[in-house]
Amino acid sequence: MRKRSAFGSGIAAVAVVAALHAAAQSPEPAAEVLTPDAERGQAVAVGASAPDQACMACHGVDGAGDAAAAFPRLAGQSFVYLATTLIDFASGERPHEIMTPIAEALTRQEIIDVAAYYATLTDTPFAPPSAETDAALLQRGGTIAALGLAPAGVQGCINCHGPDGGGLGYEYPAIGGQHAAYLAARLHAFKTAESVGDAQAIMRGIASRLSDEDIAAVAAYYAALRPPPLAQDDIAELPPQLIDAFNDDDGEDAE
Amino acid sequence: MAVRLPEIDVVLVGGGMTAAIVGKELAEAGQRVVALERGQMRQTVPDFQSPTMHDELTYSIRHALMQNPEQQTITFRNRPDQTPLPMRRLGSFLPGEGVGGAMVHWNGVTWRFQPEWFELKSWTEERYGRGFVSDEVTIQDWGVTYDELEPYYDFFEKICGTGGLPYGDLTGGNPFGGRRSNPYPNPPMKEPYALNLFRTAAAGMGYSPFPAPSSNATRHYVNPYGAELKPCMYCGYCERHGCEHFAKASPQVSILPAALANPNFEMRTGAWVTRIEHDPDAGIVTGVTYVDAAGREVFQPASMVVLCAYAYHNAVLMLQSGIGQPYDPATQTGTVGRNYCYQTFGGATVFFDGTVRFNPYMGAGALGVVIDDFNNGSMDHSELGFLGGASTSVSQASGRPIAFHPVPGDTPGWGLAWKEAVRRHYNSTLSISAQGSSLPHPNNYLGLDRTYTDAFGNPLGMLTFDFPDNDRRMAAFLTERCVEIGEAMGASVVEGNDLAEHYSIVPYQSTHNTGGTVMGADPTTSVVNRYLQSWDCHNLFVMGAGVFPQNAGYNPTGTVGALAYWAVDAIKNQYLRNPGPLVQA
Amino acid sequence: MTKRDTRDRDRDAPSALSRRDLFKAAAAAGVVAAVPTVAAGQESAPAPSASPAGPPAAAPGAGPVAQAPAARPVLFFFNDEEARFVEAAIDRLIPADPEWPGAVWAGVLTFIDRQLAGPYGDGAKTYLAGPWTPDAPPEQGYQHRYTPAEIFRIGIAEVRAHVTETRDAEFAELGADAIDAVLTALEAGEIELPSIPSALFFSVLLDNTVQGWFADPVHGGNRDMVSWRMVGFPGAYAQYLETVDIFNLDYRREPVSIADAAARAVHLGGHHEH
Repeated sequence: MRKRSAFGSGIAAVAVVAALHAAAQSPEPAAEVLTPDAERGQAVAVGASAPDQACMACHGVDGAGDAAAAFPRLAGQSFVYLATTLIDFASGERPHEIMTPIAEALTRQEIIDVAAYYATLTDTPFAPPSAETDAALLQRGGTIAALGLAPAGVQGCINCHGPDGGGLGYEYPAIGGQHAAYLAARLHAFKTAESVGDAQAIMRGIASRLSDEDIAAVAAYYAALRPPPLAQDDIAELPPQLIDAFNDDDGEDAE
Repeated sequence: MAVRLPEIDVVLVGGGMTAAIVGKELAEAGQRVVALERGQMRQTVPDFQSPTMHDELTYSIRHALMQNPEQQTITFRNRPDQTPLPMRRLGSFLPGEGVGGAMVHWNGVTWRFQPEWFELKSWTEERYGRGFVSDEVTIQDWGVTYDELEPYYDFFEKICGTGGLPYGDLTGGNPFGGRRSNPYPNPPMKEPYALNLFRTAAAGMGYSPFPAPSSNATRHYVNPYGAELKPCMYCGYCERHGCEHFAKASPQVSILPAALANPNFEMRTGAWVTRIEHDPDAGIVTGVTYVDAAGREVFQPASMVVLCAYAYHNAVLMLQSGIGQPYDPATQTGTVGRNYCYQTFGGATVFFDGTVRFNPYMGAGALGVVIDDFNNGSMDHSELGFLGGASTSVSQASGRPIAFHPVPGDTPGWGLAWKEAVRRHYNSTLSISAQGSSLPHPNNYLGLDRTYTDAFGNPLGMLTFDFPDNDRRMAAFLTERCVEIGEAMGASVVEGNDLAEHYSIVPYQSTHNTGGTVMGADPTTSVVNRYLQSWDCHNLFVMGAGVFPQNAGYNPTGTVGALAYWAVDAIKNQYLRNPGPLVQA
Repeated sequence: MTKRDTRDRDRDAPSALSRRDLFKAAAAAGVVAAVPTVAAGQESAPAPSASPAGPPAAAPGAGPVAQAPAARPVLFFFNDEEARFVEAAIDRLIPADPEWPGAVWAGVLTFIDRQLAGPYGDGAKTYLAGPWTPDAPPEQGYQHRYTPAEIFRIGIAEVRAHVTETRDAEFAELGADAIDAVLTALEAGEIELPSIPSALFFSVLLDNTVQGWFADPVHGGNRDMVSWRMVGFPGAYAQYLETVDIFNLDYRREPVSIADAAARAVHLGGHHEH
């Protein structure tokens, strides 16, 4: 039986970031530095040791996700974001009916491995965009993405999510080419603060100022984009401080 | 013949920070207020969005958000015996234009002056005796005390959402600051590596480092006007740029929404004020003449005029309009233009020779760690031979490479050696900057030029300024202190940055121009009284740093904001009830 | 499935990219990464215009800009002789070295050309009205009556004339050492030009060269963000909230130009690419 990992103290996204800084500033190296391995991650993804927990069942071996079911595309996503999100699912920072038990069952090593696996799938094709999307809705979404919304006091999504939603900082997801239904669901979740995983409540502040139509518009717009590979880090070349942050600092993981 | 508009209660010259404050408050008090801004409307969305805002060439180097010298500039000379010549390009300072003014492209550093600075003349005489500073340094008392201003500092910080640590306690705030009735409304900013090294070294030397007080919001924040600021993202395009994230306290984010929501307030753009009209016999102003957006000359009559233009321009406008007695350096009489001051810098560039990564491009305008141990009220000047002092800091505001590519002083200015040095030092170099006070001198003043005119046919303002000897001695002292700290940081090379032999209008130093319309208790040495009310025309008020009798070793914006709220309080509670001089001379 | 080598040349960490690929690209563009010993006109092939929106879909192994050797860009301001002069000069102001290309490859000629053809060149934001006092003390700043465009036009012509007269050769045909000597003398004010101080001309030339080197590629220079890769500047990013206080972070994300944001990959109804 898979050993349940001990995240019991609830390491939230904020705490991961704090750990990230502490690890960087700590005068001593972490006791055991876990390194991500995409090959091992593939085993996790296909459910090699826990077939009923296989990521591929919903997200696909290729990480394409499922547009209709709103299972997000994971392929080529930022490693830091994927790993942080799994930890957030497990800790309760981002409670999710389906993902929380799955993430809780993973060890820390498995988390960073499967995050690395999906992050390195840079060739997965994008789904063909919906032919039915209303052009006016796309235009509205594009305007919000590029410029923001003046009356709502919302800045453009591009500021943080980068050109064509390709991503900028390590911690913020690439959103270009993500499934519209998933993006919309996330924005609605931010709006109601059901699930956060949002240090500084930045997305909550933004989403709470978007109307339902605004949300549909940006979701449709970003879904139609094919982003530049800004978020596709070379795992082997990631700054060590960022990997370090995912080490199990409370020392309870004995996998 | 100018078109005459219907009379209103209050006309504001300018559409920047003080116009937003005064406009909002007086509109709320039931006054019909019009702000006349020469530039255009600007808003966070769409005007400040990145990536187009993250264009160093356009904004930092070509000054997209600043005034255009082609339309109006000033002339400059170091000494009265020289011929003043036009400042043909912006350099030393960067006045803003457009709604929001310079507070759109400011850094966000938000200080209070130390208490003694408001009574500098009496304090210096009492503490150090008469004659400690030579008579030529014409320091003055302001006519208002820190204690009187404290609640207004507090309110302005709340409007801006300033973040920092409380003063004077064990949590690491500024032990040399004046007393505070409240902590800062927001927590301090983060501390990157370069700032941490400075903090450690300074603390190790017995100084008291603390986070620079910052109006780059450190979290979601709603100010007393109901305006929301969002967390600063440390994007590194702060000063000289607009903020896309609603994080930097600019008028359009913090104040104008409340003002514009009031039908009593109107922001009129494309309105270039050319003259304040007055009736000298009656001792009042009657309104202002301006060129409107269509190019027509217009007279806006008003019961009250408030000058809210950029610092020195209020003095220039008064001189162009013939209000008050122009200052004459030959006789040292007259008041308008008197006591122009600036900022005096010492510092050191500290090279770690590629052994660290500071990532200077991860920055915010007011991201810094400061020590106030060398400021005027913090140290004993008895043996130092100068008056004044500085806030001394390491900041991390920008790594934008056109302007930031530090190399050691003996590096050639171009070629392979330069290129190699740039590559080597870009990510491992920091600066310690001592932002020193600027004391007034009888030869440093604002006047009107006799040769050059602006695009509207008016004479240009004329600036005469050089560093007084007192300030040179101070700068030398500060540079030595900065070098010492740099060496304590374990750097490879530390280079002191000496003050130039003569003040030059060319390299950027600071947009902290002060004086020219100084406040005081004595009408023979001040233009406005302690409520920023003109001694000459009781319905004329003057805002801005032009009212400072001397500039302190701090950024001026906090004091400008506090004084604006202080003055508007006097207008609302005293002047409007009983128009007339609020202080008997 | 083996771990994919995601090391696309376009996205390498800066140091890895520079050595192999920029040199290759430099060669492809016709620039020799060594001190030019032959006619500068042949070696200093002008760089192509700034990289198109978005990183190009380069095949692995291609250089940072997978294009054919550069065609001469369209020049709006300089004539061919002036262009050769400027290229020869900037080639020494910011030369190529074995690791990193220089100002020529980076397209600084294009940058300067566009600047001079535009409002900056015409003296925008400059108070140009007379009277003028050309020998004013430096503290009073620029006091000549010329626009930047005029300074370049006049300065290039007068320096060329001086060089022709004193060295019996075209400036652009001089060897590197000779060009360095001329530039050094200009900088020091040791060359007497009829119309403008030589130090003024040199400082405007150097300022524009450094600006073209470091500015966003949308302005025509800093091809493929080469100067940013060299120093490690990510460019037009808008947030570092989570990383600003990580000490010594080796930030490896690909730099971003304003031009990248102009890419519009929206596909409607039936079209898609990946």
